[in-house]
Order: sequence, then C-alpha cells, then structure tokens
Amino acid sequence: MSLAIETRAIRKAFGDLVAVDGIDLAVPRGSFYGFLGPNGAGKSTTIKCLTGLLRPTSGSYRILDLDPLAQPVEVKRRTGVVPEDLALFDRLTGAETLAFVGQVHGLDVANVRERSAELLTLMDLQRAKDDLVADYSHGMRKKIALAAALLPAPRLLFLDEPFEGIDAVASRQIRDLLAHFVKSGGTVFLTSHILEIVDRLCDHIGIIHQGRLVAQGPIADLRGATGTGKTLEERFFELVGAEHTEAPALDWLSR
Amino acid sequence: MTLARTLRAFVWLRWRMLVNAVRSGERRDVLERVSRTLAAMAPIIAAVLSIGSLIGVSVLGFLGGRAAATGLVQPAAVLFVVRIVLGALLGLVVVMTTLAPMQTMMASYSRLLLLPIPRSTLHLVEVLANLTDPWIAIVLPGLATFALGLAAGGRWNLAAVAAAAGAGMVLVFVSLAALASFMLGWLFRSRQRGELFTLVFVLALSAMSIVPAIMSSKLDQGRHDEPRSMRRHTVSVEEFDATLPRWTRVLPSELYGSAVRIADEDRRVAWASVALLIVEGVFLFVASSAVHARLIGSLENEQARHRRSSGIVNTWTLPLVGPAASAVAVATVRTALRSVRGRLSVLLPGPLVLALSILFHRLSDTPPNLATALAHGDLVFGASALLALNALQSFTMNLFGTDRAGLTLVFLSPVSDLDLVRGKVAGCGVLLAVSLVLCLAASAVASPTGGVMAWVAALFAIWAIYLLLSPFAVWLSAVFPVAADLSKAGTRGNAHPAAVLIGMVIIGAITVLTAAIFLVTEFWLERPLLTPLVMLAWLGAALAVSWPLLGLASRMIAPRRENLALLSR
Repeated sequence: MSLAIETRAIRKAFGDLVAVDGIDLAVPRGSFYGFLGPNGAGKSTTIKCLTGLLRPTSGSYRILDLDPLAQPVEVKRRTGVVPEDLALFDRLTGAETLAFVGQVHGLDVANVRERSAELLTLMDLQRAKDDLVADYSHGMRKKIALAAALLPAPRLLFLDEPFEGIDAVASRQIRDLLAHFVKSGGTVFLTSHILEIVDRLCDHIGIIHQGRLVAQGPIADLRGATGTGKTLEERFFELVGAEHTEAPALDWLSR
Repeated sequence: MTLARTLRAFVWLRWRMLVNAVRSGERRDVLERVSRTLAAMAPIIAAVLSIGSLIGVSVLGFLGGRAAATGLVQPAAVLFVVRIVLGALLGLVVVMTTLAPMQTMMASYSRLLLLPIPRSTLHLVEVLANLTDPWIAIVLPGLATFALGLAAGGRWNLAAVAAAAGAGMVLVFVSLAALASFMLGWLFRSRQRGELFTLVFVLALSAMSIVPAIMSSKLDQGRHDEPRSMRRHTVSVEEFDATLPRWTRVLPSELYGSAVRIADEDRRVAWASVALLIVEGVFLFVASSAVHARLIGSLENEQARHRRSSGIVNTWTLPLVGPAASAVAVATVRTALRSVRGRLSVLLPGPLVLALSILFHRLSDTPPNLATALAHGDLVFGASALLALNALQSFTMNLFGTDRAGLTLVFLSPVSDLDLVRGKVAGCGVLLAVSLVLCLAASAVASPTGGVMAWVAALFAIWAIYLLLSPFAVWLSAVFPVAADLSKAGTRGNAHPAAVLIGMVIIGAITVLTAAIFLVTEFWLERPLLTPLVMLAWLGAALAVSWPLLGLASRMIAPRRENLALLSR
C-alpha cells in the first residue's frame, strides 16, 4: 500500500511537556483520513510537525515519499494546508491572497485568475474578494484559507478543523468538493471535533490521546473491531477512556 | 463593596497579566528569552526613572508653594509656572491617551461585559485607572505638595483653596483621559475609521509640532525689527495674561491659577473658581460616562462596505529575484502601505524634511554650518534619505514580525529561506524607493541647488547603505522578532528596541564610511563629475558584499523557524 504520510516514532516535546509521544501514522494515498482526539491530545502539534511549522524532537517521517526535513520546498509544492490559526495576511484582499499563493507555487497568471474565480464562487466570496482579510468574519477567513490551500491543486491536504465556523451551505459544498478530490486520487488529512463529519466523510481514522496514537485503520475495521456494531462516538469514548466518565454532580448548581 | 471588590479584581488582573507576560517565555529557547528580557527592560528603566521624577516634582511643588507663601518668590511667577504646566498637561493627557492607551482594559472589554459588574462600576474603574498613567501620576504629588508648601508658609487660606482646586484638576485630568480613551475606543470599533483617525491625528500632530518654532521665528523677526533699546524688555505675567483670549479663562488650568491667585483678596471669587473647576470635572466625567455607554452599546462589528472591484489582481516579478521572492516582496509592500504604521514610515519623512527646511530657512539665527548645508540640495536629500531609512526601521529591523499570521502562510508555502529573505529585502527596498521619491521632491523644493551629479551620487549612496544594512537587518529580525501591530502609530508597531539600537549603530557606521567616500571625492578631490561614478562603484561593491551575506543570513531562519511562527499569535 502506497502511503501519503508515514511517520516513525515522531515525538515533539516543549521542555518537560511531551505533546506528541512517538506516533506511527500510516495514511494511505487517496484516503480521507480523520485524525481525532480530545482537546490537548496533540492533533494540532502533529499537523504542525507534518507541515514543517514545528520540528519534531525525534523520529522520522515521509510525506508523499519525500523527506520534509531534506526537501521542505518540494513537499510544500505538493501539499495544501489550512492550519488552526488560518495563517493569512490581514492586509491583503481575498483575491490578492489567492494571487500570492498562486505566484509562490509558480502558476501562471491566467491559471491563477481562472482558479481563483472558481474557488471564490464556490466559497461565496465573490462580493468580498476585494475586501481586506482583516475585515472578514471568521467563517470567511476559513473559506479563503481553504481556497488558498486548494488553489495550487495539491496532492495532499492538511485541514485542521476546516468546518468550524462555516455555514451549512458552504459546508456541504466543501464536503462534496473534498470527496471529489479524494475520488480523483488526492489525500485529505483532517482533524475535527465533530465526530459526525468524520464518520460521514472519512474512510480511515487515527485516534490520538495524550500524545499517543491509540487506534488507526479503516473506519469500518475500527467500528467492527468489537463485533457489536458500535458507533464511532462510542468507540472513540472507549479508546480515550471516557466511556464511564460521569459528570460530577456539582450540587451547588441545583440550588 | 462592589466597587472595592471590582477594583481589587482589576488590580489583581493587571498584575497577573504582567507576570504571565514575562513567564510565558519560559518554554522558549535562550535567544527568545534574551529577546523578551531586553524588551522588558525599557519599561523597567522608565519606571525607575519615574520614581526620581516623582520625588523631584514633590520637592519642587513643596518648595514652590513655600517660596510663594513666604514671599521669597513672587506668587504670581510661581503660579504662572504651575498654570503653564497644568495647561500643557491637559493637552498631553489627550495626546498620550490617544498614542498609548496603556491603562485601559479596552482590549478585553467583551469579556468584561459578560461579568456581573455594573456598567457604572466598570466606567468608574476605567476613570480611576487613569490615575496610574505616568503623565497624570507625576503631577499628583506636585499639586499636593504645592498646597502643603503654602500651608507650611503659613498661608492656610491659600493652601485650602489650592488643595480643593488641585482635587478639581485631578478630577478633570482623569475624566478627560477617560473621555479621550472611550472616544478612541468607539472610533476603533471600525478598523477603517480607526486607522484613518490615527493617520490624520499623527500627521496633524507632526504639523502642529513645528508651529511653535514658526511662531518663535516670527517673534524673533519682530524682535530684530525693534529698536535696540526695546530689545531688553521682558514681558510680565500681567502683560502676558492680558494678551490671552477671553475663552482661556475657563480652561481648568486657568481656573486653578485664578482661584489660588485671588484667594487672599476675594475668598468668594476664589471658591467660585474652584466650584467652576469641579463643575468642569463633573461635566467631563458625565460626558465620559455617556461615551462609555455608547461604546459598550455599539455593535461589535459594523457592517463592512465591500470595496469596489477592479476584477483583476496584478502580480509582479521583480528583477534579480524569482517569482516566490517577488510574491513575498509584493505582500510586504501591500501590508505596509495599507497600515497606519507603514504609511507614516513611508510618507512622513519627505514632508517633514520640507517643513524643517522651510523652518530653518526662515529662522534668522540658524547656525552657519546648518545654513551652508541647507544651501546644498544634494546634502538635504542625503539627510532626508537617511531619515527615511531610519523611519523604515519598524519594517527593516522586524522583517518577519510585521506579517503576523501571514508569515505562517509563507512558511507553509514553497518558499525557500533564501527567497523569503530576498523577498523581504526587496519589499523594504520598494518601500524605501517610494519614500525616497517623496524625499527627492521635498529636497528639490526646499533647496533646488547643487549639481545633478551630486544628487545622483547621493541616490547611489543611500542604496549602498541600504544594501550593506540588509544582511544585518535579516539577522537582527530573526534574533529579535516582535509581533508588531501595524494599525498603531505607537510603540506596539515598533521593532525590538535592541534591533533598532543595533540597527542605528550599523546605519551610522555604514553612513560614516559612505559619507567619507562622498566628501573626499566631492570636496577634497574637487571632482564632482567623478562622485557619481565612485558612488556607483561603491553601490556595486555593496551589492557584491550583501548578496552572499544575505545567503548567509538566510541560514539563520531555519533554526529560528518555530520562534518566528509563534509571531502569528
């Protein structure tokens, strides 16, 4: 099986705090991979390591058969990223942001204009394309970040909570677009807190808890592992040890 | 109780924010900690100096009050000084509150509004917080000890009036500062309105700063026109007061002065002045309350108007650098020219040089050396170009911190470290070029003298300085990155103080070397035609030196990448 992302014992520590503790990811090419975990589990740190924003403390990894530490520019030519904090120039317009991304990827002007127009229409940003990103709402910023990630037609997309703050109509269009992208051979590595979205979109999942990968594989296998036909949510709770957690009574709340 | 509890909570909140700001660097590397510690030194030094100032002002206030009470010094003269200081402070309160609203909680207002704090309490706490503004805090002990000094001199009646009027002045100061701060907060609800205001405010302030000098030159001229026998005439306080327009009498500082001055003669009038001063303070307090209510009642985000679309976004590829570096350069230029800080840095030096040149031309007692320099247009241009280069330090010495989250986008894009560095240097070069065009025009208007060759040589010289500076700028920007807020004209838009300081030293050293080559060719060898050729050769040498050095400096980016990526937060 050809892998889009392959990591070996990746570890990232900030002083005494170990955010990612030796994970071995295997993301098949052409898969829609959902990366799940509770808050603070290490999802965003993992994505930052994979996209080159953080340097792993130890371990090795390959992205699309390339070594990101040795060939960072080549890897970035083939990948698109929507990071947690979106990473946009506040004082460029939406259209200029896309032009910037197109130019650094070496696309010709006509190509950039054509793709930008289509993406802006898809994201319903045509009217706001000449406004500064600083004046965009959170949802609009998310959409333009997603458009910027898609513009160079990458082979691998890293999406950190891509549907958070996006309206239902755009969300459905983006889901369809991503499904089409995967069908055509692209790979999506997505983190989300919304298990329902992961359940509906992803064919593979990995679950990280306290910096360790506690499960990984095709979503059907993971559900069927217990043989009881559990939902993804139930399986997720089991794996992160939250199935028997009951909220404390907090008697003072019922005064 | 609610007020006391809220005040205690706010004091604790500010203290924790200060402590956490210092502690947050613990997990970062040594360079980051050194950088943050150096940045924290400036306010600590300012605080230490302030203690000395507080003691000085207290002693001066007491001695002044006592001297006025005992007749050692004319009371009117002492009061004149106090009036001038208080009057100037009224303006300063508005200006400084606008430039550095450091004590206000405006940034976290949304969170505060969710807490069970009555809005009137929130307003009162904000008003009282202005007491800790250094420009207000420094005058408080002076006002108090002035009244004490009057009492120590045995003038109890005067002391009582001075104490009451002093309290009125404090009320005026804090209420005025709060009013200015809330007005500003309301203006900045809209980014566009706020940035336009900042730009107009700073430009108006810069223009106003030379008005006293122009007026003094007029006075100077008038004095020269007077007969010699008249020149020694000094203006008395009474004569000065007589020239003041009538409306100035209701200024708080004038009410303070008139109340204390007249207290011995007519107690009723004195207390009436104090009452009017307090009424003014109350009026400002009520006005600040109304603006505060409007501020917190206004919508968080006003409806943004969509800009008119040209439909086409242009991309440029600059010579000598590739498309990726060009994209970085264009983004740098756009970011700068669309921000308050960038517009001021680029657009201000030219007009400032023009204003100063006109001023010095008009001054009758301009030093001969300066007058000679002003007669050489090429030197004026050279000086203005250096001013432009220094004004751009917010960008040149903080190449990565000005992009904020945009830098992460660059890091995620297929842009090599060398392309990033070249793009940044090229972008700042474009900004310098725009600023130089304005400086060239301003210098040509102010002093259209000197040979064309000398002007061309000066242009080559400034570019040579910029090229030699750029590798150092990259290194300093990587070592001392600061997340700059370009929407502000104050310190939050500045580069790291250490980077600015070292940058100024480097600019100075390169300038001395460049100026020496220029002056030797122009004045010692007296070969004006040779000067531009020598400067062109110097520019070529600078390019030959800086190009490989930029490559070397770009190697600094990789180990600093994680720290630089944190600038987006």
